[in-house]
Amino acid sequence: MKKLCVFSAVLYTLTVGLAASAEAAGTLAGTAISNQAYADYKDANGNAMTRVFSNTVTVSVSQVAGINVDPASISSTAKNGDVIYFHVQSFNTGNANDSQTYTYATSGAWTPTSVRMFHDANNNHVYDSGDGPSLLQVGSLLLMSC
Amino acid sequence: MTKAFFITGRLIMATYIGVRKSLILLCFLTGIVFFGSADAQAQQETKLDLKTTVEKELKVKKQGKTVLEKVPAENSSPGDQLVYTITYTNAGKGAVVDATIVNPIPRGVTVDPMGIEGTDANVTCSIDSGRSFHAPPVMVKIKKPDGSLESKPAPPESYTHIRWIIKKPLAPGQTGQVNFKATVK
Repeated sequence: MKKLCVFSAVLYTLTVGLAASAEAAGTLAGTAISNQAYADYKDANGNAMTRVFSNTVTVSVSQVAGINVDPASISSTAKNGDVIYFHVQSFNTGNANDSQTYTYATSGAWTPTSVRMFHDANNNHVYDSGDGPSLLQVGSLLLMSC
Repeated sequence: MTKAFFITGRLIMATYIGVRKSLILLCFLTGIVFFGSADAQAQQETKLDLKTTVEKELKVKKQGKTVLEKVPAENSSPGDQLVYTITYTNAGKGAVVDATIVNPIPRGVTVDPMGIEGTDANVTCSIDSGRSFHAPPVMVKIKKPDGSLESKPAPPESYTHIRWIIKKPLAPGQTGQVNFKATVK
Protein backbone atom coordinates (compact mmCIF):
# COMPACT_ATOMS: atom_id res chain seq x y z
CA MET A 1 0.00 0.00 0.00
CA LYS A 2 1.33 3.34 -0.99
CA LYS A 3 1.20 6.23 1.34
CA LEU A 4 1.65 9.85 0.76
CA CYS A 5 3.57 11.77 3.30
CA VAL A 6 3.35 15.49 3.06
CA PHE A 7 5.46 17.63 5.22
CA SER A 8 4.32 21.13 5.53
CA ALA A 9 6.27 23.50 7.56
CA VAL A 10 6.80 24.27 10.80
CA LEU A 11 5.14 24.10 14.12
CA TYR A 12 6.83 22.67 17.11
CA THR A 13 8.71 23.82 20.10
CA LEU A 14 11.70 25.73 19.31
CA THR A 15 14.90 25.91 21.15
CA VAL A 16 17.36 26.17 18.39
CA GLY A 17 19.60 29.09 17.79
CA LEU A 18 19.96 30.09 14.22
CA ALA A 19 23.03 32.14 13.64
CA ALA A 20 22.60 35.11 11.39
CA SER A 21 24.82 34.25 8.50
CA ALA A 22 25.59 35.22 4.96
CA GLU A 23 21.98 34.50 4.10
CA ALA A 24 20.82 36.97 6.67
CA ALA A 25 19.38 40.07 5.12
CA GLY A 26 20.35 43.48 6.27
CA THR A 27 22.53 45.24 8.76
CA LEU A 28 22.84 43.35 12.02
CA ALA A 29 20.35 44.32 14.69
CA GLY A 30 21.86 46.64 17.26
CA THR A 31 24.21 48.29 14.79
CA ALA A 32 24.49 52.02 15.33
CA ILE A 33 24.48 54.06 12.14
CA SER A 34 26.07 57.39 12.97
CA ASN A 35 26.14 60.40 10.71
CA GLN A 36 28.07 63.63 10.94
CA ALA A 37 28.57 66.34 8.37
CA TYR A 38 31.31 68.95 8.20
CA ALA A 39 31.87 72.18 6.34
CA ASP A 40 34.73 74.35 5.15
CA TYR A 41 34.20 78.03 4.42
CA LYS A 42 35.86 81.42 4.13
CA ASP A 43 35.30 84.80 5.69
CA ALA A 44 34.52 87.97 3.76
CA ASN A 45 38.24 88.55 3.16
CA GLY A 46 38.78 85.13 1.64
CA ASN A 47 40.52 83.61 4.66
CA ALA A 48 39.92 79.89 5.07
CA MET A 49 38.17 79.23 8.36
CA THR A 50 38.54 76.28 10.69
CA ARG A 51 36.44 73.31 9.59
CA VAL A 52 33.17 72.98 11.52
CA PHE A 53 31.38 69.73 12.33
CA SER A 54 27.72 69.06 12.89
CA ASN A 55 26.28 67.12 15.78
CA THR A 56 26.19 63.35 15.33
CA VAL A 57 22.88 61.62 14.79
CA THR A 58 22.58 57.91 15.44
CA VAL A 59 20.07 55.41 14.18
CA SER A 60 19.90 52.04 15.90
CA VAL A 61 19.03 49.09 13.72
CA SER A 62 16.13 47.07 15.10
CA GLN A 63 15.75 43.34 14.83
CA VAL A 64 13.70 42.06 11.97
CA ALA A 65 13.02 38.36 12.28
CA GLY A 66 12.74 36.20 9.23
CA ILE A 67 12.94 32.54 8.40
CA ASN A 68 12.65 30.74 5.13
CA VAL A 69 11.90 27.05 5.16
CA ASP A 70 12.74 25.32 1.94
CA PRO A 71 10.78 23.52 0.70
CA ALA A 72 7.65 24.73 2.45
CA SER A 73 6.05 21.37 1.80
CA ILE A 74 7.32 18.15 0.42
CA SER A 75 5.69 14.86 -0.56
CA SER A 76 6.77 11.36 -1.26
CA THR A 77 5.21 7.97 -1.88
CA ALA A 78 6.09 4.91 0.13
CA LYS A 79 4.99 1.48 1.03
CA ASN A 80 3.66 0.51 4.39
CA GLY A 81 6.50 0.21 6.85
CA ASP A 82 8.94 2.27 4.79
CA VAL A 83 11.04 4.94 6.34
CA ILE A 84 10.99 8.16 4.34
CA TYR A 85 13.55 10.90 4.65
CA PHE A 86 12.84 14.49 3.89
CA HIS A 87 15.49 17.09 3.63
CA VAL A 88 14.39 20.51 4.71
CA GLN A 89 16.53 23.61 5.05
CA SER A 90 15.72 26.63 7.10
CA PHE A 91 17.39 29.96 6.52
CA ASN A 92 17.59 32.83 8.91
CA THR A 93 16.66 35.77 6.72
CA GLY A 94 16.48 38.14 9.66
CA ASN A 95 19.22 40.46 10.83
CA ALA A 96 19.96 38.86 14.22
CA ASN A 97 20.54 35.54 15.86
CA ASP A 98 17.17 34.05 16.48
CA SER A 99 15.33 31.00 17.64
CA GLN A 100 12.36 29.39 16.02
CA THR A 101 9.70 26.87 16.89
CA TYR A 102 9.39 23.92 14.54
CA THR A 103 6.50 21.64 14.02
CA TYR A 104 5.06 19.64 11.19
CA ALA A 105 1.75 18.65 9.75
CA THR A 106 0.82 15.76 7.54
CA SER A 107 -1.92 15.51 5.00
CA GLY A 108 -3.50 12.70 3.06
CA ALA A 109 -4.79 9.40 4.38
CA TRP A 110 -1.61 8.83 6.26
CA THR A 111 -0.42 9.02 9.80
CA PRO A 112 3.25 8.46 10.51
CA THR A 113 3.97 6.09 13.35
CA SER A 114 6.80 8.32 14.47
CA VAL A 115 8.46 11.48 13.29
CA ARG A 116 11.97 12.32 14.27
CA MET A 117 14.05 15.32 13.38
CA PHE A 118 17.78 15.39 13.03
CA HIS A 119 20.19 18.16 12.63
CA ASP A 120 22.21 17.71 9.48
CA ALA A 121 25.34 18.41 11.45
CA ASN A 122 27.78 17.64 8.64
CA ASN A 123 25.59 19.48 6.16
CA ASN A 124 25.76 16.81 3.47
CA HIS A 125 21.98 16.84 2.95
CA VAL A 126 21.51 13.17 3.82
CA TYR A 127 20.93 11.45 7.11
CA ASP A 128 24.04 9.51 8.04
CA SER A 129 26.32 8.66 10.91
CA GLY A 130 27.82 12.13 10.82
CA ASP A 131 24.61 13.63 12.06
CA GLY A 132 23.60 14.08 15.63
CA PRO A 133 21.21 12.05 17.71
CA SER A 134 17.51 12.36 17.21
CA LEU A 135 16.13 15.64 18.34
CA LEU A 136 12.77 13.94 18.47
CA GLN A 137 10.15 16.54 18.08
CA VAL A 138 12.39 19.38 18.99
CA GLY A 139 15.00 20.56 16.66
CA SER A 140 16.38 22.50 13.84
CA LEU A 141 15.13 19.85 11.48
CA LEU A 142 17.25 19.86 8.48
CA LEU A 143 16.52 16.18 8.16
CA MET A 144 13.29 14.58 8.97
CA SER A 145 12.23 11.00 8.93
CA CYS A 146 8.61 9.97 8.70
CA MET B 1 77.65 134.38 6.32
CA THR B 2 76.20 133.16 3.11
CA LYS B 3 77.84 129.82 3.63
CA ALA B 4 76.48 129.45 7.09
CA PHE B 5 72.98 130.22 5.91
CA PHE B 6 73.27 127.67 3.21
CA ILE B 7 74.26 125.02 5.70
CA THR B 8 71.34 125.86 7.91
CA GLY B 9 69.06 125.62 4.89
CA ARG B 10 70.24 122.12 4.12
CA LEU B 11 69.77 121.08 7.70
CA ILE B 12 66.20 122.27 7.63
CA MET B 13 65.61 120.40 4.38
CA ALA B 14 67.16 117.26 5.85
CA THR B 15 64.97 117.51 8.92
CA TYR B 16 61.91 118.00 6.74
CA ILE B 17 62.69 114.96 4.58
CA GLY B 18 63.37 112.93 7.74
CA VAL B 19 60.01 113.83 9.21
CA ARG B 20 58.29 113.11 5.93
CA LYS B 21 59.87 109.66 5.77
CA SER B 22 58.85 108.93 9.33
CA LEU B 23 55.33 110.05 8.61
CA ILE B 24 55.11 107.85 5.55
CA LEU B 25 56.59 104.98 7.49
CA LEU B 26 54.20 105.61 10.34
CA CYS B 27 51.22 105.64 7.97
CA PHE B 28 52.45 102.48 6.34
CA LEU B 29 52.87 100.68 9.65
CA THR B 30 49.53 101.92 10.93
CA GLY B 31 48.01 100.67 7.71
CA ILE B 32 49.32 97.20 8.29
CA VAL B 33 48.17 97.18 11.87
CA PHE B 34 44.79 98.49 10.79
CA PHE B 35 44.26 95.90 8.05
CA GLY B 36 45.58 93.18 10.33
CA SER B 37 43.12 93.90 13.07
CA ALA B 38 40.21 94.08 10.60
CA ASP B 39 41.23 90.66 9.33
CA ALA B 40 41.34 89.11 12.77
CA GLN B 41 38.02 90.70 13.58
CA ALA B 42 36.39 89.28 10.45
CA GLN B 43 37.75 85.83 11.30
CA GLN B 44 36.57 86.00 14.87
CA GLU B 45 33.14 87.14 13.85
CA THR B 46 32.65 84.63 11.05
CA LYS B 47 31.00 81.46 12.24
CA LEU B 48 29.12 78.72 10.44
CA ASP B 49 26.92 76.34 12.41
CA LEU B 50 25.89 72.89 11.20
CA LYS B 51 23.07 70.83 12.63
CA THR B 52 22.09 67.37 11.42
CA THR B 53 18.78 65.61 11.97
CA VAL B 54 17.52 62.26 10.75
CA GLU B 55 13.97 61.14 10.21
CA LYS B 56 12.31 58.05 8.84
CA GLU B 57 9.95 58.31 5.93
CA LEU B 58 6.97 56.00 6.23
CA LYS B 59 4.22 55.33 3.74
CA VAL B 60 1.00 56.00 5.57
CA LYS B 61 -2.52 55.63 4.23
CA LYS B 62 -4.62 58.67 4.90
CA GLN B 63 -8.15 58.91 3.59
CA GLY B 64 -7.42 56.30 0.97
CA LYS B 65 -4.27 58.03 -0.24
CA THR B 66 -0.73 56.87 0.40
CA VAL B 67 1.33 59.73 1.75
CA LEU B 68 4.85 59.93 3.10
CA GLU B 69 5.08 60.80 6.74
CA LYS B 70 8.25 61.66 8.60
CA VAL B 71 8.72 60.13 12.02
CA PRO B 72 11.70 59.96 14.41
CA ALA B 73 14.30 57.43 13.29
CA GLU B 74 16.09 56.46 16.52
CA ASN B 75 15.17 52.87 15.73
CA SER B 76 15.01 51.69 12.17
CA SER B 77 14.91 48.43 10.31
CA PRO B 78 16.61 47.24 7.15
CA GLY B 79 14.71 48.71 4.21
CA ASP B 80 13.62 51.85 6.03
CA GLN B 81 14.12 55.09 4.16
CA LEU B 82 15.94 57.73 6.17
CA VAL B 83 16.02 61.43 5.42
CA TYR B 84 19.09 63.27 6.69
CA THR B 85 18.78 67.04 6.89
CA ILE B 86 21.71 69.37 7.46
CA THR B 87 20.83 72.89 8.52
CA TYR B 88 23.56 75.50 8.03
CA THR B 89 23.43 78.87 9.70
CA ASN B 90 25.70 81.87 9.57
CA ALA B 91 25.97 82.40 13.32
CA GLY B 92 28.61 85.12 13.08
CA LYS B 93 28.69 88.81 12.23
CA GLY B 94 30.50 88.59 8.92
CA ALA B 95 29.59 86.98 5.62
CA VAL B 96 30.28 83.25 5.15
CA VAL B 97 31.77 82.66 1.74
CA ASP B 98 32.24 79.47 -0.29
CA ALA B 99 30.54 77.24 2.28
CA THR B 100 31.20 73.62 1.31
CA ILE B 101 29.31 70.98 3.26
CA VAL B 102 30.48 67.38 3.08
CA ASN B 103 28.64 64.35 4.44
CA PRO B 104 30.52 61.06 4.44
CA ILE B 105 27.85 58.41 3.92
CA PRO B 106 27.68 56.27 7.05
CA ARG B 107 28.10 52.51 6.96
CA GLY B 108 24.83 50.66 7.01
CA VAL B 109 22.92 52.85 4.57
CA THR B 110 22.72 53.17 0.82
CA VAL B 111 22.21 56.67 -0.50
CA ASP B 112 19.60 57.43 -3.12
CA PRO B 113 21.69 59.32 -5.71
CA MET B 114 18.65 61.12 -7.10
CA GLY B 115 17.29 61.98 -3.67
CA ILE B 116 19.95 64.55 -2.81
CA GLU B 117 18.63 68.08 -2.49
CA GLY B 118 19.94 71.51 -1.73
CA THR B 119 18.50 74.83 -2.81
CA ASP B 120 21.17 77.28 -3.97
CA ALA B 121 23.69 74.47 -3.71
CA ASN B 122 25.78 72.67 -6.25
CA VAL B 123 25.44 68.94 -5.46
CA THR B 124 28.21 66.49 -6.24
CA CYS B 125 29.04 63.00 -5.00
CA SER B 126 32.12 60.87 -4.58
CA ILE B 127 32.56 57.16 -5.10
CA ASP B 128 36.27 57.23 -4.23
CA SER B 129 36.30 58.25 -0.56
CA GLY B 130 36.19 61.95 -1.32
CA ARG B 131 39.08 62.17 -3.76
CA SER B 132 36.89 63.32 -6.63
CA PHE B 133 33.34 64.63 -6.84
CA HIS B 134 30.91 64.47 -9.73
CA ALA B 135 27.29 65.45 -10.28
CA PRO B 136 24.92 62.53 -9.60
CA PRO B 137 24.41 60.06 -11.08
CA VAL B 138 28.15 59.40 -10.97
CA MET B 139 29.14 57.48 -14.08
CA VAL B 140 31.78 54.78 -14.23
CA LYS B 141 33.44 53.38 -17.31
CA ILE B 142 33.31 49.63 -17.70
CA LYS B 143 35.46 47.78 -20.16
CA LYS B 144 33.43 45.48 -22.34
CA PRO B 145 34.77 42.16 -23.65
CA ASP B 146 35.54 43.73 -27.02
CA GLY B 147 37.74 46.29 -25.29
CA SER B 148 35.44 49.26 -25.76
CA LEU B 149 34.40 51.36 -22.79
CA GLU B 150 30.84 51.69 -21.65
CA SER B 151 29.64 54.43 -19.34
CA LYS B 152 27.27 53.25 -16.62
CA PRO B 153 25.80 54.84 -13.50
CA ALA B 154 27.79 53.74 -10.45
CA PRO B 155 25.77 51.51 -8.10
CA PRO B 156 24.29 53.54 -5.21
CA GLU B 157 26.17 51.33 -2.70
CA SER B 158 29.44 52.68 -4.08
CA TYR B 159 28.75 56.28 -3.06
CA THR B 160 31.01 57.43 -0.24
CA HIS B 161 30.50 61.19 0.15
CA ILE B 162 28.02 63.90 -0.71
CA ARG B 163 29.13 67.50 -1.16
CA TRP B 164 27.08 70.66 -1.35
CA ILE B 165 28.74 73.90 -2.40
CA ILE B 166 26.56 76.83 -1.37
CA LYS B 167 26.62 79.11 -4.38
CA LYS B 168 26.10 82.48 -2.70
CA PRO B 169 27.72 84.08 0.37
CA LEU B 170 25.63 83.79 3.51
CA ALA B 171 24.72 86.99 5.28
CA PRO B 172 24.81 86.98 9.10
CA GLY B 173 21.79 85.10 10.41
CA GLN B 174 21.07 83.51 7.07
CA THR B 175 20.19 79.82 7.18
CA GLY B 176 19.49 77.04 4.72
CA GLN B 177 19.05 73.30 4.44
CA VAL B 178 20.40 70.47 2.36
CA ASN B 179 19.31 66.87 2.61
CA PHE B 180 19.68 63.36 1.30
CA LYS B 181 17.75 60.13 1.43
CA ALA B 182 19.26 56.78 2.28
CA THR B 183 17.97 53.26 2.82
CA VAL B 184 19.01 51.12 5.78
CA LYS B 185 20.88 48.12 4.38
